[in-house]
Amino acid sequence: MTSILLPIAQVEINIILILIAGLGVGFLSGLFGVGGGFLMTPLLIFLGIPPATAVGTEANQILGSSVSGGVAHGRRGNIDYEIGLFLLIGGIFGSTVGVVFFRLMRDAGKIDLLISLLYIAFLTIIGSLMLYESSKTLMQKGKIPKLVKRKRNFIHSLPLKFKFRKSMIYISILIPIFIGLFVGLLSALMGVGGGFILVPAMIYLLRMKTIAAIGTSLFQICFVTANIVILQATYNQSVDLILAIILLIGGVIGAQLGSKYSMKIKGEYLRVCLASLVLLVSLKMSVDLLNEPSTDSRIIIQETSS
Amino acid sequence: MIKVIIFLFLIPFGALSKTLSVAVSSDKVLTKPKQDEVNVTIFGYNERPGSLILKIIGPQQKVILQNKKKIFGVWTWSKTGEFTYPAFYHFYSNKSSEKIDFKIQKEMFDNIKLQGKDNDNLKKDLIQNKESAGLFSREKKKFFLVNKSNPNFFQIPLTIPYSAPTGEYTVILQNIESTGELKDSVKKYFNLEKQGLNSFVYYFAHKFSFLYGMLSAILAILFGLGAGYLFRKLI
Repeated sequence: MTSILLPIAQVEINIILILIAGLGVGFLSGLFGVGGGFLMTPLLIFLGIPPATAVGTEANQILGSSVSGGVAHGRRGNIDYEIGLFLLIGGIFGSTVGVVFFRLMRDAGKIDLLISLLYIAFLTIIGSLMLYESSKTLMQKGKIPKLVKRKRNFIHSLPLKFKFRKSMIYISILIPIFIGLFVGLLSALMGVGGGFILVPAMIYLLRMKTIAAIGTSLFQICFVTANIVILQATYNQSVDLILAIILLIGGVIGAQLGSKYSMKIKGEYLRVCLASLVLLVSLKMSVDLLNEPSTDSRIIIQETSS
Repeated sequence: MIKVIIFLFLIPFGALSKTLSVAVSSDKVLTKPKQDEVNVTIFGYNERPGSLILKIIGPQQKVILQNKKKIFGVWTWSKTGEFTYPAFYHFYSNKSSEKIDFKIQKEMFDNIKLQGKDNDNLKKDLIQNKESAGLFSREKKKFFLVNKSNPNFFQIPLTIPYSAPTGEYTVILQNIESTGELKDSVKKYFNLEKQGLNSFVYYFAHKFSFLYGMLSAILAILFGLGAGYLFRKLI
Protein backbone atom coordinates (compact mmCIF):
# COMPACT_ATOMS: atom_id res chain seq x y z
CA MET A 1 0.00 0.00 0.00
CA THR A 2 2.80 2.41 0.89
CA SER A 3 5.06 1.34 -1.97
CA ILE A 4 5.16 3.26 -5.23
CA LEU A 5 6.89 2.84 -8.56
CA LEU A 6 9.20 5.79 -9.09
CA PRO A 7 8.63 7.14 -12.62
CA ILE A 8 12.23 7.89 -13.58
CA ALA A 9 14.17 5.47 -11.38
CA GLN A 10 11.68 2.71 -12.46
CA VAL A 11 12.14 1.13 -9.04
CA GLU A 12 9.37 0.23 -6.63
CA ILE A 13 10.09 1.76 -3.26
CA ASN A 14 8.42 2.21 0.10
CA ILE A 15 7.42 5.87 0.65
CA ILE A 16 7.76 5.55 4.43
CA LEU A 17 11.30 4.22 4.02
CA ILE A 18 12.30 7.16 1.80
CA LEU A 19 10.64 9.62 4.18
CA ILE A 20 12.56 8.11 7.10
CA ALA A 21 15.79 8.24 5.08
CA GLY A 22 15.12 11.92 4.27
CA LEU A 23 14.26 12.64 7.90
CA GLY A 24 17.34 10.79 9.14
CA VAL A 25 19.80 12.50 6.81
CA GLY A 26 18.05 15.85 7.32
CA PHE A 27 18.37 15.35 11.10
CA LEU A 28 22.08 14.56 10.74
CA SER A 29 22.64 17.55 8.47
CA GLY A 30 20.90 19.81 10.98
CA LEU A 31 22.81 18.23 13.84
CA PHE A 32 26.24 18.49 12.22
CA GLY A 33 25.65 21.58 10.12
CA VAL A 34 26.45 19.85 6.82
CA GLY A 35 24.44 19.67 3.59
CA GLY A 36 23.83 15.95 3.76
CA GLY A 37 24.19 15.21 0.04
CA PHE A 38 27.26 13.05 0.60
CA LEU A 39 25.18 10.87 2.97
CA MET A 40 21.88 10.91 1.09
CA THR A 41 23.20 9.88 -2.36
CA PRO A 42 24.94 6.72 -1.03
CA LEU A 43 21.87 5.91 1.08
CA LEU A 44 19.62 6.15 -1.99
CA ILE A 45 22.01 3.82 -3.84
CA PHE A 46 21.87 1.37 -0.90
CA LEU A 47 18.05 1.50 -1.11
CA GLY A 48 18.18 0.36 -4.74
CA ILE A 49 17.86 3.65 -6.64
CA PRO A 50 20.11 3.57 -9.75
CA PRO A 51 23.23 5.70 -9.01
CA ALA A 52 22.60 8.05 -11.96
CA THR A 53 19.06 8.83 -10.74
CA ALA A 54 20.27 9.15 -7.13
CA VAL A 55 22.80 11.82 -8.19
CA GLY A 56 20.35 13.80 -10.37
CA THR A 57 17.55 13.69 -7.81
CA GLU A 58 19.74 14.53 -4.82
CA ALA A 59 20.84 17.74 -6.59
CA ASN A 60 17.16 18.75 -6.56
CA GLN A 61 16.86 18.11 -2.82
CA ILE A 62 20.05 20.09 -2.12
CA LEU A 63 18.65 22.98 -4.17
CA GLY A 64 15.56 23.13 -1.91
CA SER A 65 17.47 22.98 1.36
CA SER A 66 20.23 25.39 0.26
CA VAL A 67 17.66 27.98 -0.90
CA SER A 68 16.13 27.84 2.58
CA GLY A 69 19.52 28.30 4.28
CA GLY A 70 20.83 30.76 1.67
CA VAL A 71 17.90 33.16 2.13
CA ALA A 72 18.38 33.10 5.91
CA HIS A 73 22.10 33.91 5.56
CA GLY A 74 21.34 36.60 2.95
CA ARG A 75 18.99 38.35 5.36
CA ARG A 76 21.72 38.39 8.02
CA GLY A 77 24.23 39.84 5.55
CA ASN A 78 26.47 36.75 5.63
CA ILE A 79 26.96 36.50 1.86
CA ASP A 80 29.93 38.05 0.05
CA TYR A 81 28.28 38.50 -3.36
CA GLU A 82 31.53 39.55 -5.09
CA ILE A 83 33.34 36.34 -4.19
CA GLY A 84 30.07 34.45 -4.72
CA LEU A 85 29.90 35.72 -8.31
CA PHE A 86 33.39 34.41 -9.19
CA LEU A 87 32.65 31.10 -7.43
CA LEU A 88 29.47 30.95 -9.49
CA ILE A 89 31.27 31.57 -12.82
CA GLY A 90 33.51 28.58 -12.11
CA GLY A 91 30.63 26.56 -10.64
CA ILE A 92 28.33 26.96 -13.66
CA PHE A 93 31.14 26.02 -16.06
CA GLY A 94 32.28 23.08 -13.90
CA SER A 95 28.78 21.69 -13.38
CA THR A 96 27.94 21.97 -17.11
CA VAL A 97 31.11 20.08 -18.05
CA GLY A 98 30.27 17.60 -15.26
CA VAL A 99 26.79 16.83 -16.66
CA VAL A 100 28.17 16.34 -20.20
CA PHE A 101 30.88 14.03 -18.81
CA PHE A 102 28.19 12.24 -16.75
CA ARG A 103 26.31 11.39 -19.96
CA LEU A 104 29.45 10.14 -21.71
CA MET A 105 30.27 7.91 -18.73
CA ARG A 106 26.68 6.68 -18.47
CA ASP A 107 26.59 5.66 -22.13
CA ALA A 108 29.95 3.91 -21.73
CA GLY A 109 28.55 1.99 -18.72
CA LYS A 110 31.04 3.47 -16.27
CA ILE A 111 28.94 6.05 -14.39
CA ASP A 112 28.04 3.72 -11.47
CA LEU A 113 31.68 2.83 -10.97
CA LEU A 114 32.78 6.47 -11.22
CA ILE A 115 30.17 7.61 -8.66
CA SER A 116 31.18 4.83 -6.24
CA LEU A 117 34.91 5.50 -6.63
CA LEU A 118 34.47 9.25 -6.13
CA TYR A 119 32.40 8.62 -3.00
CA ILE A 120 34.82 6.08 -1.58
CA ALA A 121 37.76 8.46 -2.15
CA PHE A 122 36.08 11.58 -0.76
CA LEU A 123 34.32 9.92 2.15
CA THR A 124 37.51 8.14 3.23
CA ILE A 125 39.57 11.36 3.08
CA ILE A 126 36.94 13.53 4.75
CA GLY A 127 36.02 10.90 7.37
CA SER A 128 39.68 10.28 8.30
CA LEU A 129 40.50 14.00 8.51
CA MET A 130 37.42 14.68 10.57
CA LEU A 131 38.16 11.78 12.92
CA TYR A 132 41.80 12.89 13.32
CA GLU A 133 40.85 16.52 13.92
CA SER A 134 38.06 15.81 16.42
CA SER A 135 40.07 13.15 18.31
CA LYS A 136 42.99 15.62 18.56
CA THR A 137 40.67 18.32 19.91
CA LEU A 138 39.23 15.92 22.47
CA MET A 139 42.70 14.89 23.64
CA GLN A 140 44.04 18.46 23.80
CA LYS A 141 41.07 19.72 25.82
CA GLY A 142 42.13 22.47 28.21
CA LYS A 143 45.45 23.15 26.46
CA ILE A 144 45.97 26.56 24.85
CA PRO A 145 46.65 26.13 21.12
CA LYS A 146 49.86 27.65 19.75
CA LEU A 147 49.45 30.51 17.30
CA VAL A 148 50.81 29.59 13.87
CA LYS A 149 52.03 32.44 11.68
CA ARG A 150 50.60 32.11 8.18
CA LYS A 151 53.18 32.17 5.41
CA ARG A 152 52.76 33.63 1.95
CA ASN A 153 52.38 30.96 -0.74
CA PHE A 154 51.89 30.67 -4.51
CA ILE A 155 48.22 31.67 -4.16
CA HIS A 156 49.31 35.22 -3.34
CA SER A 157 51.46 35.49 -6.47
CA LEU A 158 48.63 34.69 -8.93
CA PRO A 159 47.59 37.45 -11.41
CA LEU A 160 44.19 39.21 -11.82
CA LYS A 161 44.03 40.35 -8.20
CA PHE A 162 40.85 41.96 -6.95
CA LYS A 163 39.93 43.73 -3.72
CA PHE A 164 36.90 42.02 -2.16
CA ARG A 165 35.64 44.78 0.12
CA LYS A 166 33.16 42.86 2.25
CA SER A 167 35.62 40.14 3.28
CA MET A 168 38.52 42.59 3.20
CA ILE A 169 40.80 40.33 1.17
CA TYR A 170 42.97 41.04 -1.85
CA ILE A 171 43.40 37.90 -3.96
CA SER A 172 43.37 36.69 -7.57
CA ILE A 173 39.90 36.07 -9.01
CA LEU A 174 41.32 32.83 -10.43
CA ILE A 175 41.18 31.20 -6.97
CA PRO A 176 37.39 31.46 -6.42
CA ILE A 177 36.81 30.61 -10.12
CA PHE A 178 38.96 27.46 -9.80
CA ILE A 179 37.35 26.42 -6.47
CA GLY A 180 33.88 26.94 -8.01
CA LEU A 181 34.85 24.93 -11.10
CA PHE A 182 36.15 21.98 -9.08
CA VAL A 183 33.15 21.93 -6.75
CA GLY A 184 30.70 22.35 -9.67
CA LEU A 185 32.27 19.34 -11.41
CA LEU A 186 32.00 17.23 -8.24
CA SER A 187 28.42 18.36 -7.62
CA ALA A 188 27.35 17.19 -11.08
CA LEU A 189 29.10 13.83 -10.73
CA MET A 190 28.32 13.07 -7.08
CA GLY A 191 24.99 14.78 -6.36
CA VAL A 192 26.42 16.86 -3.53
CA GLY A 193 26.29 20.57 -2.80
CA GLY A 194 30.00 20.68 -2.18
CA GLY A 195 29.84 22.72 1.03
CA PHE A 196 32.29 20.30 2.65
CA ILE A 197 34.95 21.53 0.18
CA LEU A 198 33.76 25.10 -0.40
CA VAL A 199 33.64 26.15 3.26
CA PRO A 200 37.15 24.91 4.27
CA ALA A 201 38.56 26.24 0.97
CA MET A 202 37.12 29.70 1.60
CA ILE A 203 38.32 29.73 5.21
CA TYR A 204 41.85 28.40 4.61
CA LEU A 205 42.61 29.54 1.03
CA LEU A 206 40.64 32.77 0.78
CA ARG A 207 40.94 33.57 4.53
CA MET A 208 37.25 34.42 4.81
CA LYS A 209 35.33 34.48 8.09
CA THR A 210 33.54 31.17 8.85
CA ILE A 211 30.03 32.64 8.83
CA ALA A 212 30.65 34.47 5.52
CA ALA A 213 32.12 31.28 4.05
CA ILE A 214 28.98 29.31 4.98
CA GLY A 215 26.62 32.01 3.62
CA THR A 216 28.61 32.47 0.38
CA SER A 217 28.89 28.70 -0.18
CA LEU A 218 25.09 28.37 0.14
CA PHE A 219 24.67 31.22 -2.38
CA GLN A 220 26.90 29.39 -4.86
CA ILE A 221 25.27 25.99 -4.18
CA CYS A 222 21.76 27.36 -4.92
CA PHE A 223 22.66 28.44 -8.48
CA VAL A 224 24.98 25.55 -9.28
CA THR A 225 22.48 22.88 -8.15
CA ALA A 226 19.69 24.66 -10.10
CA ASN A 227 21.93 24.44 -13.19
CA ILE A 228 22.65 20.75 -12.47
CA VAL A 229 18.95 19.89 -12.01
CA ILE A 230 17.99 21.51 -15.32
CA LEU A 231 20.92 19.95 -17.22
CA GLN A 232 20.57 16.48 -15.64
CA ALA A 233 16.85 16.49 -16.49
CA THR A 234 17.47 17.72 -20.05
CA TYR A 235 20.43 15.55 -21.08
CA ASN A 236 20.28 12.52 -18.80
CA GLN A 237 16.60 12.32 -17.70
CA SER A 238 17.92 11.43 -14.25
CA VAL A 239 15.80 13.67 -12.00
CA ASP A 240 12.94 11.81 -10.31
CA LEU A 241 10.51 14.49 -9.21
CA ILE A 242 8.38 12.15 -7.05
CA LEU A 243 11.46 10.91 -5.18
CA ALA A 244 12.76 14.47 -4.83
CA ILE A 245 9.49 15.71 -3.28
CA ILE A 246 9.47 12.88 -0.70
CA LEU A 247 13.13 13.59 0.13
CA LEU A 248 12.46 17.34 0.42
CA ILE A 249 9.62 16.80 2.91
CA GLY A 250 11.69 14.43 5.07
CA GLY A 251 14.88 16.47 4.72
CA VAL A 252 13.43 19.84 5.68
CA ILE A 253 11.65 18.53 8.81
CA GLY A 254 14.68 16.45 9.83
CA ALA A 255 17.08 19.39 9.43
CA GLN A 256 14.98 21.60 11.69
CA LEU A 257 14.81 18.90 14.37
CA GLY A 258 18.54 18.22 14.04
CA SER A 259 19.52 21.86 14.45
CA LYS A 260 17.45 22.01 17.68
CA TYR A 261 19.32 19.05 19.17
CA SER A 262 22.75 20.24 18.01
CA MET A 263 22.75 22.83 20.81
CA LYS A 264 22.51 20.06 23.41
CA ILE A 265 25.44 17.90 22.25
CA LYS A 266 29.14 18.86 22.41
CA GLY A 267 30.73 19.66 19.01
CA GLU A 268 33.75 17.33 19.35
CA TYR A 269 31.57 14.31 20.10
CA LEU A 270 29.31 15.22 17.18
CA ARG A 271 32.27 15.34 14.81
CA VAL A 272 33.56 11.93 16.00
CA CYS A 273 30.10 10.46 15.37
CA LEU A 274 29.85 12.02 11.90
CA ALA A 275 33.37 10.90 10.98
CA SER A 276 32.57 7.33 12.01
CA LEU A 277 29.34 7.42 9.98
CA VAL A 278 31.13 8.78 6.88
CA LEU A 279 33.80 6.04 7.14
CA LEU A 280 31.13 3.34 7.53
CA VAL A 281 29.33 4.56 4.38
CA SER A 282 32.64 4.51 2.50
CA LEU A 283 33.32 0.94 3.69
CA LYS A 284 29.85 -0.24 2.61
CA MET A 285 30.34 1.31 -0.86
CA SER A 286 33.72 -0.41 -1.19
CA VAL A 287 32.22 -3.80 -0.28
CA ASP A 288 29.34 -3.27 -2.74
CA LEU A 289 31.82 -2.78 -5.59
CA LEU A 290 33.00 -6.36 -5.08
CA ASN A 291 29.46 -7.79 -5.36
CA GLU A 292 28.61 -9.33 -8.73
CA PRO A 293 25.52 -7.77 -10.44
CA SER A 294 22.53 -10.15 -10.53
CA THR A 295 21.99 -9.69 -14.29
CA ASP A 296 24.48 -10.26 -17.11
CA SER A 297 23.42 -7.24 -19.15
CA ARG A 298 21.41 -4.06 -18.90
CA ILE A 299 19.80 -1.65 -21.33
CA ILE A 300 20.08 2.13 -21.32
CA ILE A 301 17.18 3.63 -23.28
CA GLN A 302 18.20 6.66 -25.32
CA GLU A 303 15.08 7.42 -27.34
CA THR A 304 11.60 5.96 -27.94
CA SER A 305 9.56 6.99 -30.96
CA SER A 306 5.92 7.56 -30.08
CA MET B 1 -22.74 -14.67 -28.16
CA ILE B 2 -21.89 -11.16 -26.96
CA LYS B 3 -18.28 -11.68 -28.04
CA VAL B 4 -19.41 -12.65 -31.54
CA ILE B 5 -21.40 -9.43 -31.76
CA ILE B 6 -18.45 -7.41 -30.49
CA PHE B 7 -16.21 -9.07 -33.04
CA LEU B 8 -18.65 -8.33 -35.86
CA PHE B 9 -18.55 -4.67 -34.87
CA LEU B 10 -14.80 -4.62 -34.57
CA ILE B 11 -14.17 -6.15 -37.99
CA PRO B 12 -15.51 -4.08 -40.86
CA PHE B 13 -18.09 -6.02 -42.86
CA GLY B 14 -15.87 -6.03 -45.93
CA ALA B 15 -13.19 -7.83 -43.99
CA LEU B 16 -15.46 -10.78 -43.29
CA SER B 17 -15.47 -11.59 -46.97
CA LYS B 18 -11.69 -12.10 -46.68
CA THR B 19 -10.17 -15.37 -45.56
CA LEU B 20 -8.03 -13.73 -42.83
CA SER B 21 -9.02 -10.84 -40.57
CA VAL B 22 -7.88 -9.32 -37.31
CA ALA B 23 -9.34 -6.85 -34.80
CA VAL B 24 -8.34 -5.40 -31.44
CA SER B 25 -10.75 -5.11 -28.48
CA SER B 26 -9.90 -1.41 -28.16
CA ASP B 27 -7.73 1.06 -30.09
CA LYS B 28 -6.65 2.53 -26.73
CA VAL B 29 -5.13 0.01 -24.34
CA LEU B 30 -4.37 0.92 -20.72
CA THR B 31 -1.72 -0.64 -18.51
CA LYS B 32 -1.12 0.01 -14.84
CA PRO B 33 1.62 -0.90 -12.32
CA LYS B 34 1.59 -4.64 -11.49
CA GLN B 35 -0.67 -5.32 -14.48
CA ASP B 36 -1.44 -9.03 -14.37
CA GLU B 37 -4.94 -9.08 -15.81
CA VAL B 38 -5.80 -9.24 -19.49
CA ASN B 39 -5.87 -5.68 -20.88
CA VAL B 40 -6.30 -6.36 -24.59
CA THR B 41 -7.95 -9.11 -26.60
CA ILE B 42 -7.10 -9.80 -30.20
CA PHE B 43 -9.91 -11.23 -32.30
CA GLY B 44 -9.20 -13.16 -35.46
CA TYR B 45 -10.92 -14.90 -38.32
CA ASN B 46 -9.26 -17.48 -40.55
CA GLU B 47 -10.67 -19.86 -43.15
CA ARG B 48 -7.44 -21.27 -44.53
CA PRO B 49 -5.51 -24.28 -43.27
CA GLY B 50 -1.96 -23.80 -41.98
CA SER B 51 -0.48 -22.14 -38.93
CA LEU B 52 -1.23 -18.72 -37.52
CA ILE B 53 1.28 -16.27 -36.12
CA LEU B 54 0.23 -13.25 -34.13
CA LYS B 55 2.77 -10.44 -33.69
CA ILE B 56 2.48 -7.48 -31.33
CA ILE B 57 5.15 -4.93 -32.20
CA GLY B 58 5.83 -1.83 -30.10
CA PRO B 59 7.36 1.55 -31.02
CA GLN B 60 11.00 1.80 -32.14
CA GLN B 61 13.57 2.39 -29.44
CA LYS B 62 17.22 3.42 -29.53
CA VAL B 63 19.23 1.78 -26.74
CA ILE B 64 22.71 1.00 -25.50
CA LEU B 65 23.45 -2.53 -24.31
CA GLN B 66 25.94 -2.92 -21.47
CA ASN B 67 27.35 -6.22 -20.22
CA LYS B 68 28.84 -6.77 -16.77
CA LYS B 69 32.61 -6.90 -16.58
CA LYS B 70 35.17 -7.44 -13.82
CA ILE B 71 38.14 -5.04 -13.72
CA PHE B 72 40.79 -5.51 -11.00
CA GLY B 73 38.28 -7.42 -8.86
CA VAL B 74 35.64 -4.68 -9.18
CA TRP B 75 32.36 -5.25 -11.07
CA THR B 76 31.39 -2.65 -13.64
CA TRP B 77 29.38 -2.35 -16.87
CA SER B 78 30.80 -2.08 -20.33
CA LYS B 79 29.11 -0.75 -23.48
CA THR B 80 28.82 -3.52 -26.07
CA GLY B 81 26.60 -1.99 -28.74
CA GLU B 82 23.99 0.54 -29.83
CA PHE B 83 20.71 -0.76 -31.21
CA THR B 84 17.48 0.41 -32.77
CA TYR B 85 14.63 -2.09 -32.49
CA PRO B 86 10.93 -2.42 -31.58
CA ALA B 87 10.72 -1.86 -27.81
CA PHE B 88 8.09 -4.59 -27.51
CA TYR B 89 8.05 -7.79 -29.58
CA HIS B 90 5.62 -10.59 -28.77
CA PHE B 91 5.09 -13.56 -31.08
CA TYR B 92 2.38 -16.14 -30.57
CA SER B 93 1.79 -19.16 -32.77
CA ASN B 94 -1.10 -21.63 -32.58
CA LYS B 95 1.08 -24.55 -33.72
CA SER B 96 4.65 -25.35 -32.94
CA SER B 97 7.01 -26.36 -35.71
CA GLU B 98 10.73 -25.99 -36.31
CA LYS B 99 10.16 -23.92 -39.45
CA ILE B 100 7.86 -21.47 -37.69
CA ASP B 101 10.20 -21.19 -34.69
CA PHE B 102 13.11 -20.48 -37.04
CA LYS B 103 11.08 -17.89 -38.98
CA ILE B 104 10.10 -16.09 -35.74
CA GLN B 105 13.66 -16.09 -34.43
CA LYS B 106 15.06 -14.84 -37.75
CA GLU B 107 12.52 -12.02 -37.89
CA MET B 108 13.38 -10.99 -34.33
CA PHE B 109 17.09 -10.87 -35.20
CA ASP B 110 16.50 -9.06 -38.51
CA ASN B 111 14.44 -6.34 -36.86
CA ILE B 112 17.21 -5.42 -34.45
CA LYS B 113 19.42 -2.86 -36.16
CA LEU B 114 22.90 -2.70 -34.72
CA GLN B 115 24.96 0.42 -35.34
CA GLY B 116 28.22 -0.49 -37.03
CA LYS B 117 29.18 -4.09 -37.79
CA ASP B 118 26.42 -6.69 -37.38
CA ASN B 119 26.95 -9.08 -34.47
CA ASP B 120 24.50 -11.92 -33.73
CA ASN B 121 25.97 -12.53 -30.26
CA LEU B 122 25.16 -8.97 -29.19
CA LYS B 123 21.64 -9.32 -30.61
CA LYS B 124 21.27 -12.55 -28.64
CA ASP B 125 22.31 -10.75 -25.43
CA LEU B 126 19.78 -7.99 -26.14
CA ILE B 127 16.97 -10.49 -26.83
CA GLN B 128 17.75 -12.35 -23.58
CA ASN B 129 17.68 -9.09 -21.62
CA LYS B 130 14.34 -8.07 -23.17
CA GLU B 131 12.87 -11.56 -22.65
CA SER B 132 13.76 -11.49 -18.96
CA ALA B 133 11.96 -8.11 -18.69
CA GLY B 134 8.88 -9.61 -20.39
CA LEU B 135 9.14 -7.23 -23.34
CA PHE B 136 10.19 -9.85 -25.91
CA SER B 137 8.37 -13.15 -26.05
CA ARG B 138 8.07 -16.16 -28.34
CA GLU B 139 5.49 -18.72 -27.34
CA LYS B 140 2.95 -21.19 -28.52
CA LYS B 141 -0.38 -19.88 -27.27
CA LYS B 142 -3.86 -21.20 -27.28
CA PHE B 143 -6.09 -19.35 -29.74
CA PHE B 144 -9.47 -19.66 -28.00
CA LEU B 145 -12.61 -20.11 -30.04
CA VAL B 146 -15.08 -17.27 -29.66
CA ASN B 147 -17.95 -19.62 -30.45
CA LYS B 148 -17.75 -23.41 -30.57
CA SER B 149 -20.13 -23.52 -33.53
CA ASN B 150 -17.69 -21.55 -35.68
CA PRO B 151 -14.09 -22.80 -35.56
CA ASN B 152 -12.88 -19.88 -37.73
CA PHE B 153 -13.46 -17.20 -35.09
CA PHE B 154 -10.88 -17.04 -32.33
CA GLN B 155 -9.58 -14.71 -29.67
CA ILE B 156 -6.24 -14.26 -27.92
CA PRO B 157 -6.39 -12.52 -24.53
CA LEU B 158 -3.12 -10.68 -23.76
CA THR B 159 -1.50 -8.78 -20.94
CA ILE B 160 0.68 -5.83 -21.93
CA PRO B 161 2.93 -5.16 -18.92
CA TYR B 162 3.50 -1.74 -17.35
CA SER B 163 7.16 -1.85 -18.40
CA ALA B 164 6.11 -1.69 -22.08
CA PRO B 165 6.61 1.82 -23.51
CA THR B 166 3.62 3.93 -24.50
CA GLY B 167 2.93 4.61 -28.17
CA GLU B 168 1.56 2.95 -31.28
CA TYR B 169 1.56 -0.85 -31.38
CA THR B 170 1.08 -2.92 -34.54
CA VAL B 171 -0.89 -6.16 -34.46
CA ILE B 172 -0.09 -8.51 -37.35
CA LEU B 173 -1.85 -11.79 -37.97
CA GLN B 174 -0.19 -14.12 -40.49
CA ASN B 175 -1.23 -17.34 -42.11
CA ILE B 176 1.76 -19.63 -42.75
CA GLU B 177 1.93 -22.81 -44.83
CA SER B 178 3.54 -25.95 -43.38
CA THR B 179 6.56 -25.18 -45.59
CA GLY B 180 6.97 -21.90 -43.69
CA GLU B 181 5.79 -19.81 -46.65
CA LEU B 182 3.65 -16.74 -45.87
CA LYS B 183 0.17 -17.01 -47.40
CA ASP B 184 -1.64 -14.02 -46.01
CA SER B 185 -1.08 -11.19 -43.55
CA VAL B 186 -3.38 -8.59 -41.98
CA LYS B 187 -2.61 -5.63 -39.75
CA LYS B 188 -4.28 -3.46 -37.09
CA TYR B 189 -3.02 -0.82 -34.62
CA PHE B 190 -3.65 0.23 -31.06
CA ASN B 191 -2.21 2.85 -28.75
CA LEU B 192 -0.76 1.86 -25.39
CA GLU B 193 -1.31 4.34 -22.59
CA LYS B 194 -0.33 4.24 -18.96
CA GLN B 195 -2.48 5.25 -16.03
CA GLY B 196 -1.59 7.55 -13.18
CA LEU B 197 0.75 10.34 -12.17
CA ASN B 198 3.77 8.10 -12.74
CA SER B 199 3.09 7.80 -16.42
CA PHE B 200 2.53 11.55 -16.77
CA VAL B 201 5.82 12.34 -15.00
CA TYR B 202 7.72 9.82 -17.18
CA TYR B 203 6.19 11.23 -20.38
CA PHE B 204 6.81 14.83 -19.34
CA ALA B 205 10.42 14.07 -18.30
CA HIS B 206 11.23 12.39 -21.61
CA LYS B 207 9.29 14.52 -24.08
CA PHE B 208 9.77 17.96 -22.51
CA SER B 209 13.05 17.39 -20.66
CA PHE B 210 14.08 21.05 -20.40
CA LEU B 211 10.67 22.17 -19.12
CA TYR B 212 10.67 19.26 -16.68
CA GLY B 213 14.10 20.30 -15.40
CA MET B 214 12.93 23.92 -14.98
CA LEU B 215 9.79 22.80 -13.17
CA SER B 216 11.81 20.50 -10.85
CA ALA B 217 14.18 23.36 -9.99
CA ILE B 218 11.32 25.85 -9.43
CA LEU B 219 9.46 23.36 -7.21
CA ALA B 220 12.58 22.76 -5.10
CA ILE B 221 13.17 26.53 -4.75
CA LEU B 222 9.54 27.15 -3.75
CA PHE B 223 9.75 24.26 -1.31
CA GLY B 224 12.91 25.69 0.25
CA LEU B 225 11.44 29.20 0.50
CA GLY B 226 8.16 27.85 1.90
CA ALA B 227 9.91 25.68 4.48
CA GLY B 228 12.10 28.60 5.57
CA TYR B 229 9.06 30.87 5.97
CA LEU B 230 7.07 28.20 7.82
CA PHE B 231 9.81 27.40 10.32
CA ARG B 232 10.47 31.10 10.94
CA LYS B 233 6.80 31.46 11.86
CA LEU B 234 6.71 28.29 13.97
CA ILE B 235 9.98 28.68 15.87
